[in-house]
Amino acid sequence: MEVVRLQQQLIELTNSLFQEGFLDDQFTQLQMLQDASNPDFVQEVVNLFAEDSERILAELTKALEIEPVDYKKVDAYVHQFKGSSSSIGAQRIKAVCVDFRAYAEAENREGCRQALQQIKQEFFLVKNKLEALLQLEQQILAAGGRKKGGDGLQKLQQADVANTAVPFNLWACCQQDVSWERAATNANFCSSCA
Amino acid sequence: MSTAPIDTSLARAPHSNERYSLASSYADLASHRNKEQVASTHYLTQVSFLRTLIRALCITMAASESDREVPEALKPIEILSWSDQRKSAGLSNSEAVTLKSVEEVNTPSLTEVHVLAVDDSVLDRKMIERLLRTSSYKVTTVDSGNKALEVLGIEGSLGLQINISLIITDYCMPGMTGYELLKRIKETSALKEIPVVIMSSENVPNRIQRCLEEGAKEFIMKPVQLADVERLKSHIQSTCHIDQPSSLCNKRKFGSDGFEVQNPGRRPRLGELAVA
Repeated sequence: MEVVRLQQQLIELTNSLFQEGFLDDQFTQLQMLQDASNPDFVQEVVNLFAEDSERILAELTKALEIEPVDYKKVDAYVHQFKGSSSSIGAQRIKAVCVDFRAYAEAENREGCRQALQQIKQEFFLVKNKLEALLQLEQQILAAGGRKKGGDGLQKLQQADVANTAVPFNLWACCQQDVSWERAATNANFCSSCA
Repeated sequence: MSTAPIDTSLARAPHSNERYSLASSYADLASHRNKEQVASTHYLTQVSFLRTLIRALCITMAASESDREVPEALKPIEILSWSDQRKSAGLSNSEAVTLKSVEEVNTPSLTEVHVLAVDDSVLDRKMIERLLRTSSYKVTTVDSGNKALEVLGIEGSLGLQINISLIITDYCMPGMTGYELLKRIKETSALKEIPVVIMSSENVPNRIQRCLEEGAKEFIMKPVQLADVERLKSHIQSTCHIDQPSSLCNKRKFGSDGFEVQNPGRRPRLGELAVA
Protein backbone atom coordinates (compact mmCIF):
# COMPACT_ATOMS: atom_id res chain seq x y z
CA MET A 1 0.00 0.00 0.00
CA GLU A 2 1.51 3.26 -1.19
CA VAL A 3 0.10 5.24 1.70
CA VAL A 4 1.44 2.83 4.30
CA ARG A 5 4.89 2.91 2.71
CA LEU A 6 4.87 6.70 2.70
CA GLN A 7 3.69 6.81 6.29
CA GLN A 8 6.51 4.48 7.28
CA GLN A 9 8.96 6.81 5.60
CA LEU A 10 7.47 9.77 7.42
CA ILE A 11 7.74 8.03 10.77
CA GLU A 12 11.37 7.09 10.08
CA LEU A 13 12.31 10.58 8.96
CA THR A 14 10.60 12.22 11.93
CA ASN A 15 12.27 9.83 14.36
CA SER A 16 15.72 10.41 12.89
CA LEU A 17 15.25 14.17 13.06
CA PHE A 18 14.51 13.95 16.76
CA GLN A 19 17.19 11.38 17.50
CA GLU A 20 19.92 13.27 15.68
CA GLY A 21 19.00 16.39 17.58
CA PHE A 22 17.80 18.42 14.63
CA LEU A 23 14.44 18.96 16.26
CA ASP A 24 13.28 19.07 19.84
CA ASP A 25 10.03 19.06 21.74
CA GLN A 26 9.08 22.52 20.53
CA PHE A 27 8.49 21.10 17.06
CA THR A 28 6.03 18.63 18.55
CA GLN A 29 4.24 21.59 20.13
CA LEU A 30 3.99 23.15 16.68
CA GLN A 31 2.46 20.01 15.24
CA MET A 32 -0.08 19.98 18.05
CA LEU A 33 -1.21 23.46 17.08
CA GLN A 34 -2.12 22.23 13.62
CA ASP A 35 -5.74 21.21 13.23
CA ALA A 36 -8.68 21.40 10.87
CA SER A 37 -9.00 25.16 11.19
CA ASN A 38 -5.26 25.62 10.66
CA PRO A 39 -4.29 22.72 8.40
CA ASP A 40 -1.12 24.31 7.07
CA PHE A 41 0.19 25.79 10.27
CA VAL A 42 3.47 23.87 10.36
CA GLN A 43 4.13 24.64 6.71
CA GLU A 44 3.49 28.34 7.28
CA VAL A 45 5.76 28.46 10.29
CA VAL A 46 8.52 26.65 8.43
CA ASN A 47 8.19 29.10 5.53
CA LEU A 48 8.38 32.08 7.86
CA PHE A 49 11.38 30.59 9.59
CA ALA A 50 13.16 30.01 6.28
CA GLU A 51 12.53 33.57 5.07
CA ASP A 52 13.44 35.19 8.35
CA SER A 53 16.59 33.11 8.69
CA GLU A 54 17.78 33.89 5.21
CA ARG A 55 17.41 37.57 5.94
CA ILE A 56 19.35 37.32 9.20
CA LEU A 57 22.11 35.21 7.64
CA ALA A 58 22.56 37.78 4.87
CA GLU A 59 22.79 40.57 7.44
CA LEU A 60 25.29 38.61 9.50
CA THR A 61 27.46 37.95 6.48
CA LYS A 62 27.47 41.66 5.68
CA ALA A 63 28.15 42.65 9.28
CA LEU A 64 31.19 40.42 9.49
CA GLU A 65 32.67 41.71 6.26
CA ILE A 66 32.82 45.39 7.10
CA GLU A 67 35.64 47.03 9.03
CA PRO A 68 35.44 47.47 11.96
CA VAL A 69 32.99 44.78 12.93
CA ASP A 70 30.08 45.99 15.04
CA TYR A 71 29.91 43.11 17.48
CA LYS A 72 26.85 44.45 19.23
CA LYS A 73 24.96 44.30 15.99
CA VAL A 74 26.26 40.80 15.31
CA ASP A 75 25.19 39.74 18.77
CA ALA A 76 21.72 41.21 18.21
CA TYR A 77 21.26 39.28 14.97
CA VAL A 78 22.46 36.03 16.50
CA HIS A 79 20.08 36.58 19.39
CA GLN A 80 17.22 36.96 16.92
CA PHE A 81 18.24 33.83 15.09
CA LYS A 82 18.53 31.89 18.31
CA GLY A 83 15.03 33.03 19.23
CA SER A 84 13.40 32.00 16.01
CA SER A 85 15.19 28.66 15.83
CA SER A 86 14.15 27.83 19.36
CA SER A 87 10.55 28.77 18.53
CA ILE A 88 10.51 26.22 15.75
CA GLY A 89 12.45 23.60 17.72
CA ALA A 90 15.65 23.66 15.66
CA GLN A 91 17.87 22.45 18.43
CA ARG A 92 21.22 22.21 16.67
CA ILE A 93 21.03 25.74 15.30
CA LYS A 94 20.25 27.01 18.78
CA ALA A 95 23.42 25.36 20.10
CA VAL A 96 25.63 26.94 17.44
CA CYS A 97 24.07 30.33 18.21
CA VAL A 98 25.22 30.03 21.80
CA ASP A 99 28.82 29.51 20.63
CA PHE A 100 28.47 32.33 18.14
CA ARG A 101 27.39 34.77 20.84
CA ALA A 102 30.38 33.80 22.94
CA TYR A 103 32.69 34.61 20.03
CA ALA A 104 30.93 37.91 19.43
CA GLU A 105 31.29 38.87 23.07
CA ALA A 106 34.99 38.06 22.91
CA GLU A 107 35.14 40.08 19.67
CA ASN A 108 36.77 37.08 18.05
CA ARG A 109 36.30 37.73 14.35
CA GLU A 110 37.65 34.44 13.10
CA GLY A 111 35.57 32.55 15.62
CA CYS A 112 32.51 34.48 14.46
CA ARG A 113 33.21 33.67 10.83
CA GLN A 114 33.52 29.96 11.58
CA ALA A 115 30.38 29.99 13.66
CA LEU A 116 28.53 31.70 10.82
CA GLN A 117 29.66 28.99 8.41
CA GLN A 118 28.49 26.33 10.79
CA ILE A 119 25.14 28.02 11.30
CA LYS A 120 24.59 28.24 7.57
CA GLN A 121 25.32 24.54 7.19
CA GLU A 122 23.00 23.59 10.02
CA PHE A 123 20.29 25.86 8.71
CA PHE A 124 20.32 24.38 5.21
CA LEU A 125 20.41 20.87 6.64
CA VAL A 126 17.37 21.36 8.86
CA LYS A 127 15.54 23.35 6.18
CA ASN A 128 15.94 20.52 3.67
CA LYS A 129 14.87 17.92 6.18
CA LEU A 130 11.78 19.90 7.17
CA GLU A 131 10.86 20.38 3.54
CA ALA A 132 11.23 16.64 2.95
CA LEU A 133 8.99 16.02 5.96
CA LEU A 134 6.30 18.38 4.73
CA GLN A 135 6.52 16.98 1.23
CA LEU A 136 6.00 13.46 2.54
CA GLU A 137 2.90 14.66 4.37
CA GLN A 138 1.56 16.17 1.16
CA GLN A 139 2.21 12.93 -0.70
CA ILE A 140 0.41 10.97 1.97
CA LEU A 141 -2.57 13.29 1.68
CA ALA A 142 -2.59 12.95 -2.08
CA ALA A 143 -2.41 9.18 -1.83
CA GLY A 144 -5.47 9.11 0.38
CA GLY A 145 -4.05 9.10 3.86
CA ARG A 146 -4.78 11.49 6.69
CA LYS A 147 -2.80 14.50 7.85
CA LYS A 148 -1.30 14.49 11.30
CA GLY A 149 -3.17 16.69 13.72
CA GLY A 150 -6.20 14.69 14.77
CA ASP A 151 -8.61 16.34 12.42
CA GLY A 152 -9.60 13.11 10.74
CA LEU A 153 -12.86 13.02 12.61
CA GLN A 154 -13.90 16.45 11.39
CA LYS A 155 -13.01 15.59 7.82
CA LEU A 156 -15.26 12.57 8.08
CA GLN A 157 -18.08 14.72 9.34
CA GLN A 158 -17.67 16.96 6.34
CA ALA A 159 -17.70 13.99 4.01
CA ASP A 160 -20.88 12.76 5.56
CA VAL A 161 -22.59 16.13 5.22
CA ALA A 162 -21.54 16.83 1.67
CA ASN A 163 -22.27 13.25 0.71
CA THR A 164 -19.29 13.19 -1.61
CA ALA A 165 -16.44 10.74 -1.85
CA VAL A 166 -13.59 12.28 0.06
CA PRO A 167 -10.23 10.50 0.29
CA PHE A 168 -10.35 10.74 4.06
CA ASN A 169 -13.18 8.31 4.60
CA LEU A 170 -11.01 5.31 3.87
CA TRP A 171 -8.61 3.71 6.29
CA ALA A 172 -5.04 4.35 5.24
CA CYS A 173 -4.01 0.84 6.16
CA CYS A 174 -6.44 -1.26 4.16
CA GLN A 175 -8.47 1.28 2.18
CA GLN A 176 -11.65 -0.10 3.72
CA ASP A 177 -14.60 2.19 4.24
CA VAL A 178 -14.45 3.85 7.62
CA SER A 179 -17.58 3.63 9.68
CA TRP A 180 -18.43 6.49 12.00
CA GLU A 181 -17.77 4.45 15.11
CA ARG A 182 -14.33 3.30 14.02
CA ALA A 183 -13.29 6.82 13.09
CA ALA A 184 -14.38 8.04 16.50
CA THR A 185 -11.41 6.28 18.05
CA ASN A 186 -9.17 8.61 15.99
CA ALA A 187 -6.73 5.78 15.44
CA ASN A 188 -4.27 5.87 12.58
CA PHE A 189 -4.89 2.27 11.58
CA CYS A 190 -8.09 0.29 11.72
CA SER A 191 -8.42 -2.29 14.43
CA SER A 192 -7.97 -5.25 12.13
CA CYS A 193 -4.77 -3.95 10.58
CA ALA A 194 -3.27 -2.46 13.74
CA MET B 1 -29.93 38.43 -9.43
CA SER B 2 -32.07 35.32 -9.47
CA THR B 3 -33.76 34.38 -6.27
CA ALA B 4 -33.31 30.65 -5.92
CA PRO B 5 -36.25 28.76 -4.42
CA ILE B 6 -34.32 28.17 -1.26
CA ASP B 7 -37.10 28.24 1.31
CA THR B 8 -39.47 25.70 -0.14
CA SER B 9 -36.95 23.03 -1.11
CA LEU B 10 -35.32 23.14 2.29
CA ALA B 11 -38.62 22.99 4.10
CA ARG B 12 -39.70 20.03 2.03
CA ALA B 13 -36.53 18.02 2.49
CA PRO B 14 -37.73 15.17 4.64
CA HIS B 15 -34.46 13.78 5.91
CA SER B 16 -32.10 15.80 8.01
CA ASN B 17 -29.21 14.53 5.92
CA GLU B 18 -30.68 15.94 2.80
CA ARG B 19 -31.45 19.14 4.56
CA TYR B 20 -27.93 19.47 5.79
CA SER B 21 -26.47 18.71 2.42
CA LEU B 22 -28.74 21.28 0.83
CA ALA B 23 -27.73 23.79 3.46
CA SER B 24 -24.08 23.05 2.92
CA SER B 25 -24.42 23.50 -0.81
CA TYR B 26 -26.06 26.84 -0.15
CA ALA B 27 -23.17 27.69 2.09
CA ASP B 28 -20.90 26.89 -0.83
CA LEU B 29 -23.13 29.00 -3.01
CA ALA B 30 -22.84 31.80 -0.49
CA SER B 31 -19.07 31.78 -0.59
CA HIS B 32 -19.12 31.54 -4.37
CA ARG B 33 -21.58 34.35 -4.69
CA ASN B 34 -19.66 36.43 -2.22
CA LYS B 35 -16.63 36.10 -4.43
CA GLU B 36 -18.67 37.16 -7.46
CA GLN B 37 -20.13 40.09 -5.69
CA VAL B 38 -16.83 41.41 -4.50
CA ALA B 39 -16.27 42.24 -8.14
CA SER B 40 -19.60 44.00 -8.44
CA THR B 41 -20.48 47.11 -6.55
CA HIS B 42 -24.08 46.31 -5.76
CA TYR B 43 -24.28 46.77 -2.04
CA LEU B 44 -28.01 46.25 -1.88
CA THR B 45 -27.92 42.94 -3.67
CA GLN B 46 -25.37 41.71 -1.19
CA VAL B 47 -27.69 42.63 1.65
CA SER B 48 -30.74 41.00 0.10
CA PHE B 49 -28.82 37.88 -0.84
CA LEU B 50 -27.47 37.49 2.65
CA ARG B 51 -30.91 38.05 4.13
CA THR B 52 -32.27 35.25 1.97
CA LEU B 53 -29.46 32.97 2.95
CA ILE B 54 -29.79 33.75 6.66
CA ARG B 55 -33.51 33.10 6.36
CA ALA B 56 -32.82 29.78 4.65
CA LEU B 57 -30.46 28.72 7.35
CA CYS B 58 -32.93 29.76 10.05
CA ILE B 59 -35.58 27.59 8.47
CA THR B 60 -33.15 24.70 8.39
CA MET B 61 -32.41 25.13 12.07
CA ALA B 62 -36.05 25.48 12.99
CA ALA B 63 -37.20 22.53 10.93
CA SER B 64 -34.51 20.22 12.08
CA GLU B 65 -35.59 17.74 14.72
CA SER B 66 -32.38 15.84 14.74
CA ASP B 67 -30.36 15.96 17.92
CA ARG B 68 -27.17 15.52 15.96
CA GLU B 69 -24.36 17.99 16.33
CA VAL B 70 -24.34 20.88 13.94
CA PRO B 71 -22.30 19.64 10.99
CA GLU B 72 -19.11 21.37 9.99
CA ALA B 73 -20.70 23.09 7.02
CA LEU B 74 -23.11 25.03 9.21
CA LYS B 75 -20.55 26.11 11.72
CA PRO B 76 -19.31 29.68 11.48
CA ILE B 77 -17.86 30.14 8.04
CA GLU B 78 -14.88 32.39 7.87
CA ILE B 79 -15.79 34.99 5.28
CA LEU B 80 -14.70 38.52 4.81
CA SER B 81 -16.34 41.06 7.06
CA TRP B 82 -18.23 43.90 5.43
CA SER B 83 -15.48 46.43 5.63
CA ASP B 84 -13.04 44.09 3.91
CA GLN B 85 -15.54 43.33 1.16
CA ARG B 86 -16.32 46.93 0.56
CA LYS B 87 -12.68 47.90 0.61
CA SER B 88 -11.85 45.29 -1.97
CA ALA B 89 -14.89 46.33 -3.99
CA GLY B 90 -13.44 49.80 -4.06
CA LEU B 91 -16.19 51.41 -2.02
CA SER B 92 -15.26 53.95 0.55
CA ASN B 93 -16.32 53.02 3.99
CA SER B 94 -16.14 55.43 6.84
CA GLU B 95 -16.23 52.41 9.07
CA ALA B 96 -13.31 50.76 7.36
CA VAL B 97 -10.58 50.55 9.90
CA THR B 98 -7.23 51.29 8.35
CA LEU B 99 -4.92 49.15 10.36
CA LYS B 100 -2.11 49.04 7.84
CA SER B 101 0.58 49.10 10.45
CA VAL B 102 -1.14 46.59 12.69
CA GLU B 103 -1.88 42.99 11.87
CA GLU B 104 -5.34 42.30 13.16
CA VAL B 105 -6.86 38.88 13.33
CA ASN B 106 -10.54 38.63 14.05
CA THR B 107 -11.91 35.44 15.47
CA PRO B 108 -15.58 34.80 16.21
CA SER B 109 -15.04 34.58 19.96
CA LEU B 110 -17.70 34.25 22.54
CA THR B 111 -16.04 36.17 25.32
CA GLU B 112 -14.57 39.02 23.24
CA VAL B 113 -11.37 38.94 25.26
CA HIS B 114 -8.94 41.04 23.29
CA VAL B 115 -5.24 40.42 23.73
CA LEU B 116 -2.48 42.65 22.41
CA ALA B 117 0.73 40.80 21.57
CA VAL B 118 3.96 42.72 21.00
CA ASP B 119 7.00 41.05 19.43
CA ASP B 120 9.55 42.16 16.87
CA SER B 121 9.99 38.64 15.48
CA VAL B 122 7.49 37.70 12.79
CA LEU B 123 7.81 34.03 13.67
CA ASP B 124 7.10 34.63 17.35
CA ARG B 125 4.12 36.81 16.46
CA LYS B 126 2.67 33.97 14.45
CA MET B 127 3.25 31.53 17.26
CA ILE B 128 1.73 33.68 19.98
CA GLU B 129 -1.20 34.57 17.80
CA ARG B 130 -1.95 30.89 17.15
CA LEU B 131 -1.51 29.98 20.81
CA LEU B 132 -3.85 32.73 21.97
CA ARG B 133 -6.44 31.85 19.37
CA THR B 134 -6.64 28.29 20.72
CA SER B 135 -8.23 29.91 23.75
CA SER B 136 -10.63 31.76 21.46
CA TYR B 137 -9.24 35.18 22.24
CA LYS B 138 -9.30 38.01 19.79
CA VAL B 139 -5.68 38.83 19.02
CA THR B 140 -3.93 41.91 17.71
CA THR B 141 -0.22 41.62 17.03
CA VAL B 142 2.19 44.52 16.63
CA ASP B 143 5.89 44.55 16.02
CA SER B 144 7.05 47.30 18.36
CA GLY B 145 6.34 49.06 21.62
CA ASN B 146 5.48 52.27 19.82
CA LYS B 147 2.87 50.56 17.69
CA ALA B 148 1.51 48.99 20.85
CA LEU B 149 1.12 52.41 22.41
CA GLU B 150 -0.60 53.66 19.29
CA VAL B 151 -3.07 50.82 19.46
CA LEU B 152 -3.61 51.52 23.14
CA GLY B 153 -4.40 55.09 22.23
CA ILE B 154 -1.68 57.01 23.95
CA GLU B 155 0.15 58.48 21.00
CA GLY B 156 -1.37 59.31 17.65
CA SER B 157 -4.52 57.34 18.15
CA LEU B 158 -5.76 55.39 15.15
CA GLY B 159 -9.24 56.55 15.98
CA LEU B 160 -10.15 53.24 17.54
CA GLN B 161 -11.66 52.47 20.86
CA ILE B 162 -10.10 49.24 21.83
CA ASN B 163 -10.51 47.55 25.14
CA ILE B 164 -7.62 45.26 25.72
CA SER B 165 -7.87 42.58 28.40
CA LEU B 166 -4.23 41.54 28.40
CA ILE B 167 -0.93 42.71 26.97
CA ILE B 168 1.78 40.17 26.30
CA THR B 169 5.10 41.54 25.17
CA ASP B 170 8.58 40.38 24.30
CA TYR B 171 11.36 41.83 26.42
CA CYS B 172 14.15 42.28 23.86
CA MET B 173 12.96 44.58 21.14
CA PRO B 174 14.77 47.29 19.21
CA GLY B 175 13.66 50.81 20.06
CA MET B 176 11.47 50.29 23.07
CA THR B 177 12.08 47.21 25.20
CA GLY B 178 9.26 45.31 26.84
CA TYR B 179 10.29 46.77 30.17
CA GLU B 180 10.03 50.32 28.87
CA LEU B 181 6.65 49.54 27.39
CA LEU B 182 5.56 48.12 30.73
CA LYS B 183 6.65 51.31 32.46
CA ARG B 184 4.79 53.52 30.00
CA ILE B 185 1.64 51.48 30.45
CA LYS B 186 1.81 51.61 34.23
CA GLU B 187 2.37 55.36 34.11
CA THR B 188 -0.84 55.91 32.16
CA SER B 189 -3.90 55.98 34.35
CA ALA B 190 -6.16 54.75 31.58
CA LEU B 191 -4.06 51.68 30.99
CA LYS B 192 -2.36 50.73 34.23
CA GLU B 193 -5.08 48.28 35.19
CA ILE B 194 -4.48 46.14 32.12
CA PRO B 195 -2.47 43.04 33.08
CA VAL B 196 0.91 42.89 31.35
CA VAL B 197 2.92 39.72 30.81
CA ILE B 198 6.55 39.75 29.66
CA MET B 199 8.20 37.04 27.55
CA SER B 200 11.90 36.47 27.13
CA SER B 201 14.24 33.83 25.82
CA GLU B 202 16.84 34.72 28.45
CA ASN B 203 16.63 33.70 32.06
CA VAL B 204 18.13 36.76 33.76
CA PRO B 205 16.97 36.96 37.39
CA ASN B 206 17.58 40.72 37.67
CA ARG B 207 15.49 41.31 34.59
CA ILE B 208 12.68 39.15 35.86
CA GLN B 209 12.77 40.87 39.24
CA ARG B 210 12.65 44.34 37.73
CA CYS B 211 9.69 43.50 35.53
CA LEU B 212 7.71 41.98 38.34
CA GLU B 213 8.47 44.96 40.57
CA GLU B 214 7.32 47.34 37.86
CA GLY B 215 3.97 45.58 37.81
CA ALA B 216 4.16 42.75 35.30
CA LYS B 217 1.82 39.94 36.23
CA GLU B 218 4.09 37.23 34.98
CA PHE B 219 7.38 36.57 33.23
CA ILE B 220 7.21 33.75 30.71
CA MET B 221 10.24 32.00 29.25
CA LYS B 222 10.31 31.54 25.51
CA PRO B 223 9.43 29.53 23.56
CA VAL B 224 5.90 30.03 24.79
CA GLN B 225 3.85 26.89 25.04
CA LEU B 226 0.21 26.00 25.34
CA ALA B 227 0.56 25.42 29.08
CA ASP B 228 1.76 29.01 29.53
CA VAL B 229 -1.24 30.38 27.68
CA GLU B 230 -3.53 28.33 29.91
CA ARG B 231 -2.01 30.05 32.91
CA LEU B 232 -2.71 33.48 31.43
CA LYS B 233 -6.42 32.93 31.85
CA SER B 234 -6.16 33.76 35.51
CA HIS B 235 -4.79 37.21 34.67
CA ILE B 236 -7.40 38.09 32.16
CA GLN B 237 -10.33 40.16 33.23
CA SER B 238 -12.99 40.23 30.59
CA THR B 239 -14.70 43.55 30.72
CA CYS B 240 -17.89 44.62 29.09
CA HIS B 241 -17.23 46.83 26.13
CA ILE B 242 -19.60 49.74 26.42
CA ASP B 243 -18.34 51.40 23.27
CA GLN B 244 -18.70 48.27 21.19
CA PRO B 245 -22.40 47.43 21.38
CA SER B 246 -22.10 44.59 18.90
CA SER B 247 -19.85 42.57 21.12
CA LEU B 248 -21.92 42.69 24.29
CA CYS B 249 -23.74 39.47 23.70
CA ASN B 250 -23.46 36.87 21.04
CA LYS B 251 -27.18 36.28 20.79
CA ARG B 252 -28.76 37.53 17.65
CA LYS B 253 -32.16 39.01 17.51
CA PHE B 254 -34.57 37.45 15.12
CA GLY B 255 -37.82 39.10 14.20
CA SER B 256 -40.99 37.11 13.81
CA ASP B 257 -40.45 36.75 10.07
CA GLY B 258 -37.10 35.10 10.65
CA PHE B 259 -35.12 38.09 9.44
CA GLU B 260 -32.24 39.18 11.57
CA VAL B 261 -32.83 42.51 13.25
CA GLN B 262 -29.94 44.72 12.23
CA ASN B 263 -28.24 46.90 14.77
CA PRO B 264 -27.09 50.11 13.14
CA GLY B 265 -23.76 49.94 14.90
CA ARG B 266 -23.24 46.34 14.01
CA ARG B 267 -21.58 44.89 10.97
CA PRO B 268 -23.54 41.93 9.68
CA ARG B 269 -21.51 38.78 9.73
CA LEU B 270 -22.78 35.65 8.11
CA GLY B 271 -20.64 33.40 10.21
CA GLU B 272 -21.92 33.89 13.74
CA LEU B 273 -25.39 32.42 13.89
CA ALA B 274 -26.47 31.31 17.30
CA VAL B 275 -27.73 27.80 17.12
CA ALA B 276 -30.69 27.43 19.42
